[in-house]
Amino acid sequence: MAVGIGMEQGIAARLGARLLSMTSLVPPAANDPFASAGTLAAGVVPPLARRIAPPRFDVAEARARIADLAAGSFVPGSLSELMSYLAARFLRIEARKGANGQWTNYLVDLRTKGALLAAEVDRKLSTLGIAQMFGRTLDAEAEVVRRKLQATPEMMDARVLRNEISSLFHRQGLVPDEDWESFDVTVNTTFGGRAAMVQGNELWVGREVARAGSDPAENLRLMRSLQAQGHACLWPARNVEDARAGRLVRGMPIILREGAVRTRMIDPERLSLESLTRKFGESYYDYYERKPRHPSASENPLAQASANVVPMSAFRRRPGASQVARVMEEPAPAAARREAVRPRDTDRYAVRHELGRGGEERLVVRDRWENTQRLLGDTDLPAGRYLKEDSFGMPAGSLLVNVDGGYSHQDEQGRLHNPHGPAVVPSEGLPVYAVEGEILSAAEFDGRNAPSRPSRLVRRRPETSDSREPDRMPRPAPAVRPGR
Amino acid sequence: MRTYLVKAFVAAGFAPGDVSYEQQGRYFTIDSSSVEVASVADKWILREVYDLADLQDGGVRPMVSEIARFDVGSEMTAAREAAIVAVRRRIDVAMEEST
Repeated sequence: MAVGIGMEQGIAARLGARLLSMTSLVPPAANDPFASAGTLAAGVVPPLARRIAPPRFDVAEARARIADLAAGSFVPGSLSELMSYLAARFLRIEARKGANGQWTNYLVDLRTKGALLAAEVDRKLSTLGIAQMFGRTLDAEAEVVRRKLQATPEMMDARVLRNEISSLFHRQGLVPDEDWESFDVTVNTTFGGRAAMVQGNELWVGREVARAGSDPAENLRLMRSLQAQGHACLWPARNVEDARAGRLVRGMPIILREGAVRTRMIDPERLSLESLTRKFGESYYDYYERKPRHPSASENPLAQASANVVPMSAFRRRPGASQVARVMEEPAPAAARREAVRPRDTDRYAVRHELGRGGEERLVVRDRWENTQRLLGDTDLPAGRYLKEDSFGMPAGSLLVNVDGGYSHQDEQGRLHNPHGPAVVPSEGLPVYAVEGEILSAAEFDGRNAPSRPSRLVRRRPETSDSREPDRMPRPAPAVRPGR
Repeated sequence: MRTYLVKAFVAAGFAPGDVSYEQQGRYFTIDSSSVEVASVADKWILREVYDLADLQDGGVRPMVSEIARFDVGSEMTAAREAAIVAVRRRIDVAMEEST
């Protein structure tokens, strides 16, 4: 098609140029008879795909994309900030190590996957430049990330404990304690009976196996004894020299290394030794040094028996003891020991000791994971040692469930103790009474408790296994079955 | 292909013994270089093997990056490109060190 337009040549030329730039019209051929009149001609339009040049990625293009960084108007505060900046410009910086073993940084175009030597684009992106900006090279940063993500058993335990205490933080926002004493209680109740201790500058929580005494020689004997039993422990000492010399912090728990967790791994801001020391206004060491000497705290329950504890040989000579000796014996049979060291169940369940309106004793098993509770007799609690708490949720020793289904009450020093009823309830046979480790006959127990207890409580003492009233006396068998 | 690779890499400063063939994986490797030339179906694949610092998951991740494909019959071209890539990487490392 050709159209003649009667207008000046200059106007026609400008119009033609504009049409050429905005449309697919092409200039007329040289021999077109209407060319001098400003005639335009339509030609064949080439396919669009052929017109789009593949995106090029060269040094100039890369420099144009990171002009702010190159000019210094953008200064990344961190490596992640730099990565975000580059990603917004379809770029990524990579550290590559070839056969020569040296790391080299490349700037990669995310669209074409083309890679340029990063130093060639901007020296700040070289290996040395990155190290100068952020303190470490990309490969060193990757190693740091790897270590952070590496799931050690301690990290996994810390995660579990973090979940345990998260509800406290959620409710109160801070560590709900005002001093180290209440912190100890919180650790014991929240972390499934674990104990807190300090070694050097680290605050740990873990399973207590003994308590340090004030006599270094005695401590050394205890340490050797525990090591001979195959226990790897954390010793409460200010430094290595003190630990080697047996100069431990009097009364502070000695915990098993296995399963021990640094509190800063549970919550680095709220549970680190530094933050707690700042909050409580004194160090954990100072707290233990000014702590009054507890009659049993300074004495190792494993190494030195309390005066109230009846030796096992004497206990076995007592009437009826042979029937319950199987329950009392520690360590339990191999199967039971395996159950006992399984931390998940003992962490999961806690036993609450309650007294009903009529004074009857009830043991309620609380499932921390599912937030449910059932009477002990209605559960099949696996063998193991469970934290016991009173009706106010305060620690009240532990309940040792035997593989046979029997159980025994122990106080915090590991002594048989139940002032409200039998301390040992075997799966078969008669119960045994004990208070603070002292084995009592039924009459002695009644006499001891009669002045302070209503008479009906005395009456509820089971006479025989047949005459026991099921609603008053927790009967473990057959409800408490051997481990699942 | 071996002949061309040896020629090309020796010309680029590598040792003749650097070129070896991996029978199991059907590819040529060049010692002290991250370049490989693999035989896949009717193509020669020029690729680069390197370790990548993984900032997402941490540690080091082995990577294989395909650079080019050549038809059978283009062995000379493939060998020359392989040598060029290997030399380019050497130069990259030298340049990086100079910063």
